[in-house]
Amino acid sequence: MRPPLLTPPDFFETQRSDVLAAIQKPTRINRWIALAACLLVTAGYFMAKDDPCLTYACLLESTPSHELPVEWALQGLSEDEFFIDDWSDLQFNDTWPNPPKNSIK
Amino acid sequence: MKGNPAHPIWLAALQNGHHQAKEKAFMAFLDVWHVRIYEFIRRMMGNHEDAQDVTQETLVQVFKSAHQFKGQSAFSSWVFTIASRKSLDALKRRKRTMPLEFDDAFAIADADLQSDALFSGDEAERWLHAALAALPPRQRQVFTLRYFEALPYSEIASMTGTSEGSLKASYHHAVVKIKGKIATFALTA
Repeated sequence: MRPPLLTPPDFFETQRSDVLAAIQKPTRINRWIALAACLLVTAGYFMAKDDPCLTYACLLESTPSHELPVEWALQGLSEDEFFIDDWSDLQFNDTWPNPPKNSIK
Repeated sequence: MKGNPAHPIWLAALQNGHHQAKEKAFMAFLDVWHVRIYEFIRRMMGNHEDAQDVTQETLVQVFKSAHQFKGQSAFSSWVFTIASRKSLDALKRRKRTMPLEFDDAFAIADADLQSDALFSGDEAERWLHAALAALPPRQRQVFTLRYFEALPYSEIASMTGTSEGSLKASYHHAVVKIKGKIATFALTA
């Protein structure tokens, strides 16, 4: 450094070290960020992944009742399951199978 | 240093090398450029503390952007462009604290240099640097690049994106102001 502009002792050596640290740091941080992102994506994949619903019982359970097409549901039932002992248990009206709330006591 | 000074031998590694080779090339770059960049920025900023910060930003930027240098201009132009922009940005940030009038700015800069332990110049040198620090940033940039770094107008024009005529006018205004202060000093000394 030429006069009249002076610097503190070892200024250039210290700054050189600081700059080298600054240019190395982002690379290390980027590696950790990439690793964390990979882990997050992998964990998300396994959390979101459901076992495929292959059985009739599973499909029936996982489908809301109001979305069930009645014909499909009836065709899916076996004869034994379809047989109902007491038909008088069923009330056929406009709101079947969801009775009006005020009818429940 | 071997090779073409406009496109130094380590430049290819700095631009395209793997990380270790790039770091090695960057150290070669620092051997040549560190002091020169600091001196330029110190003259732009007027004190060591600000120059230290801006130099650090500039060096990191050079490392990050080396791959963007296309070789259409001299490498020195490219480096000074980054250093200039960083300095002008820093000056803009502290602009609100600077007085607008040249004489007021000169008085403050002169007082700062008197108490600056890292300035060893005599009175004439102090007045020169105080006058430099009192110039508007653009004029200071042109004067520093032309007078201290001895860059040709064509190179400064490509860096700043202004015409050579406009640069010559800026340089002339800066010289007139600085000469005015030096003349005052000669009369009072």
